[in-house]
Amino acid sequence: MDNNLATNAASTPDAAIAAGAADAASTSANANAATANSRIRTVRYKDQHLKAALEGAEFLVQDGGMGTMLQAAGLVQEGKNPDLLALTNPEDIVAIQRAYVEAGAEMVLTTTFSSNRLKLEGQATVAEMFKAAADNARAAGARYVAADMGPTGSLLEPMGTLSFNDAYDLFAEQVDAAVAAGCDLIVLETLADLKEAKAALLAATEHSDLPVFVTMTFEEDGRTFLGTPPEVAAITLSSMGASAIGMNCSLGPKEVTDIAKTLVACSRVPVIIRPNAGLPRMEGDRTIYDITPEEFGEAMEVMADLGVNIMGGCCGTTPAFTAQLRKIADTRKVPAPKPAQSALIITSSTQAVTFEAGSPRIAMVGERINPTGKKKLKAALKANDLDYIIGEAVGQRDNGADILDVNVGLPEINEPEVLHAAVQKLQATVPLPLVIDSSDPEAVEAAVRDYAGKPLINSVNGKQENMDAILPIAAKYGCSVIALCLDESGIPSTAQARFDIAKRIVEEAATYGIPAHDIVVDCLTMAVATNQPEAMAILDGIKMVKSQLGCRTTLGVSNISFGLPQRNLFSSNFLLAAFGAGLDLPIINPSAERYRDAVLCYKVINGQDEGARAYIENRTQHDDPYDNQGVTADAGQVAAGVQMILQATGLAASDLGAAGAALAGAAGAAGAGATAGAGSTAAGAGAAGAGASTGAGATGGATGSAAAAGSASASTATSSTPVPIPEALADAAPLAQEIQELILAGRKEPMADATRKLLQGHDPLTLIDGLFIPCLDEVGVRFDKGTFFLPQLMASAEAVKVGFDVVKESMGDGASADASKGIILATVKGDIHDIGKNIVKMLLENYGYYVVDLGRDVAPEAVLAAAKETGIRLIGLSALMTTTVKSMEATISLLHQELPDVKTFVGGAVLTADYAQTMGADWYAKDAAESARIAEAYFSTSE
Amino acid sequence: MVTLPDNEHMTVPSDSDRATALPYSKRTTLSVSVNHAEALRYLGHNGQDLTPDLQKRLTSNAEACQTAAKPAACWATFAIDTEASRWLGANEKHPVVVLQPGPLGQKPPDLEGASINQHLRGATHVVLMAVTLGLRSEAGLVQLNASSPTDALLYSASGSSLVEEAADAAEALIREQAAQAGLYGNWRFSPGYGDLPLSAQPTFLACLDATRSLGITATDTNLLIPTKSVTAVLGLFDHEPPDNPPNPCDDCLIRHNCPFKKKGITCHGQ
Repeated sequence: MDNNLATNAASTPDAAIAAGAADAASTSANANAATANSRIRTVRYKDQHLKAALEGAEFLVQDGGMGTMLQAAGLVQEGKNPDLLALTNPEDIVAIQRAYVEAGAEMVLTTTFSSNRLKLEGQATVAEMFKAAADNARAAGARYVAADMGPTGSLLEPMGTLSFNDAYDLFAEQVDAAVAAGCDLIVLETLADLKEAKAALLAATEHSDLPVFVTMTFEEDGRTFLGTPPEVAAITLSSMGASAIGMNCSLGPKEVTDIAKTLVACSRVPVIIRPNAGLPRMEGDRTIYDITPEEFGEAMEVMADLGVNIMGGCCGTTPAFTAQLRKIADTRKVPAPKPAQSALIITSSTQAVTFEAGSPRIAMVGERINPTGKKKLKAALKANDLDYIIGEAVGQRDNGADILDVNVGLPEINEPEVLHAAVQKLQATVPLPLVIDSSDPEAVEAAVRDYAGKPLINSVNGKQENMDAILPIAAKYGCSVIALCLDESGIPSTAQARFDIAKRIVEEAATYGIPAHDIVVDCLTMAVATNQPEAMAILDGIKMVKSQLGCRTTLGVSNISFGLPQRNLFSSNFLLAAFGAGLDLPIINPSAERYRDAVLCYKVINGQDEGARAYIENRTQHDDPYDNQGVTADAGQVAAGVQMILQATGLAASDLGAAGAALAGAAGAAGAGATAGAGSTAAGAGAAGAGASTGAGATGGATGSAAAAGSASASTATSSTPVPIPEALADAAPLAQEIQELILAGRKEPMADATRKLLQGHDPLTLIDGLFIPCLDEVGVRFDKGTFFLPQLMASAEAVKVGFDVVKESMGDGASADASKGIILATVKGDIHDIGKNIVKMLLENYGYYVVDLGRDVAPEAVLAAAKETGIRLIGLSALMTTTVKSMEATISLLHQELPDVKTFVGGAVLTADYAQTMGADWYAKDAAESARIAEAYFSTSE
Repeated sequence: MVTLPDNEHMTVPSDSDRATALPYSKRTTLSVSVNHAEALRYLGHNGQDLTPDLQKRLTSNAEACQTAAKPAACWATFAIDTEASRWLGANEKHPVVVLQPGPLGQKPPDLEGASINQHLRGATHVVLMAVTLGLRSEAGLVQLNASSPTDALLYSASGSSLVEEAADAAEALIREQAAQAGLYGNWRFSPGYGDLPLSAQPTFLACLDATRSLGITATDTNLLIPTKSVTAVLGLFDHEPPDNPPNPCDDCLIRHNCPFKKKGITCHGQ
């Protein structure tokens, strides 16, 4: 409760004002610069036709496959980058391109798909390639010479090793070359990674004033290799400066109809469709693409009907296919109008949360990643411990958050750096879309620039300086943005005045090209205890914004109950009232059940939970909190309710899926939930009772735990006390023993309660040193003997972690891991296999060591730097491959040379004790358990 | 960083001298399932009690892995350049199997080392294959690695079993295609085993266009991403190859330090 109070107190509007004032001061310097800038990027069009095409008013016909034609002409040379033909065989290239121009292509791609510094391998410079290729396309008579660029060929972080900035540089070099070569537009194609597409697009828009086309390639299941669906690609890329977006390669035109539909619906700019000549198949000794030019033409007619106005061909297409496209353009003359993009769409790289214009939908924004009033998060941020943030993110996701707010604002930290790192780590960990929450424009820009997807910025407000600082960032990176209803004179008290500020922000945003439906208005919750009349003003403000501005709305809900008792009760009811007024994106704590219940109910009311499936499924599993009997909803009532819903919605019982199954269970045995509930209570009591009656009698304890677990796990319970109970815990021996058993059985769920109980009247350190650590040691012994295998070792470590966390909590702030017992861990440069290192980390942390995890693919210099910075002198290195063991050796030798007092331990599949010694490591850790022993040995001697 | 020559938009027809097509697939999706017994074996399981909690966790991670994975393979056949190849013998210190370029000029890697030399002795062609669970499965692994090492371990073991199943399925399809061409295929042998170097990986991927068709890339240390990917070499023979199923341990790099072996088990179950 205290924590809750603090949280909300600090995020009351007063705090918001203070934050606003601070940011206004910090950004006033660049405010003028921002307003002086042109608001929307000026694009230079070669001629009126190209401009018209990029306004969707005319067709644009691209060329077709080049590889296909090179093969047919026998021009492909062994193991050679085919782009080089632009230099060696210009006449042949020109001839092919001329054939496309003669067939009706207005736009010809330069033969530079693989012409980046990496792929050219020094055989030609990027500038030479683009110059030669552009000259060829011009010589072929192309009306528009399109500078073609494919993917870098390397995978970006976090899965790969190429950084966003390095990818950007590769593209920027190509764009500079394309501009110097006089190209008329830039084509970025066959991209599968949205982040790479974003790097390419930013390089193109920041290094040229040419129109930029971006197309991604999708698989049979309608997503890219990395899982990006077309709606995410379309909204992300079309919001941030692409002149046209779409798909190429992938599949044949018949297979891409659905993709095309989605692209058209979700793009703000014209859509490009450039498919293959159908699907490849083997016929005799040849690979054949399975459709004819005529079939291609027919399928592309469908695209034109959908509103696609830029068409071309990819693999397997020839000038005969281009001629079909020419025919479509010439016959139709005017493209079918593409519907305006009108939904608010917030995305990660793989998921979109979509609010269709005019249709009701709510989405829960998790508020937990915000240090305001959260001691643990503050401490974690100061220690640069992003794992804590990951834990919060995963917890909120599991509790049903649709979107996560990320705020790391603390005066002591470098916010741009930390916010960027947190967002990157979250994007690699939790696939939910993110809200970038900061009052520092520099931090916002750092976080959104390489964000894979379209984030929501939190926030802009009605102050001119603030709008001047934030809106250009939202516009440039295509972000949606939360608009706070406050301005230079603070937060107004009436609905009308709140509305007026929102309206002003919407109008100002429009001058940057940000549409109203990309703005989410926050009418700002005031505490009802101090501003009672404003509660209605907030709700009225939401109604006005929704009906008159076309914006979605958000609220930090919990502020309403500040100063009242039983805050969650009050806030969750206010939440429902706000939903009724039109609130779309409540920012709440998803772990608060009352909020979850309100959301669950409202999703039935607004139709989002079709057939009330989620509601029914949820309620058949949980007790009604207001029913003191603790009895689950009466099965008969549930059945009747479901029948009514089924009749009303016309769904069949089978449509209810899991909910239906849950229902069947409930109906079959009325009060089944109650039975289970009672059962678990009884079992809990049974465990305690059995323990109490047995005292030191281990057999009885085991029996008790068998009853509690009600499962075969009893067989693994030990038949004798494996670890002696320390004197200090003797008065609670049964409970201590239960905890031992939980640890050895790897059962983390009951650990928190058991630990809390044992803490009463006992020294926290006794629990750690007398119980947890000896148990972990015992687990290590069993693992060594083969009685346990690795997952058991880890499950036990997890159980200990739960206990540790409870103990730490009880000891207050100062009880985080002992910084004097620090260990640095890293998977060495060149190696990406870090599962083993992560296991070691987990175990060491559970022994109470302070672990600094440098991640994988870590350069020797980075390990050295971390050792110097932290003063930590025990360093663990892992490497899985023989090839990467070399960089382990290099790391050790650098460490020993620069910091002779550093001790190293090493592990990894191909290592042996001998090998470890040869390379100068101080210890060889054959497994995670051994690492813990090494750490113990190190710190006991160093003390 | 590795450079991957990208045969943009090319298709790869097979050896046109033959009446029947030699094994080739631009991309084949494989319908395979996690092998739970195998996954357990990778985890070092050797009869220990599986608590219901652990069993449940294994199952849910296996399901997550199965859902995220899109097992797929591609392969192509290359003739052995008998003149350029050097075969193992008393005087041959640096054996290498050299392959002829593909019909479109794809340059296959030189297959260096004694192990692959033995594997391919007597073969007329080789099939190079690449198999992967895809980048989405990898994303799932990266996610779990950040949030729960235990789940990551279980998911990873499921993935290892799944990619092995996928490789088995691809191998079977290759042998089937080979049989139609009147050839016999032996079994797969991967870079990194024996003395076949990992440095073959970039060329391997490039000549199969595997980056485009499967999304596999190599790091500059020649590790494959997604990590649940396999590249391998099969020999094709005019006559049925001698039936000597190899012991995978013989060519394994960690055979002298194998944690499985110490416990009297193997990672492959043979």
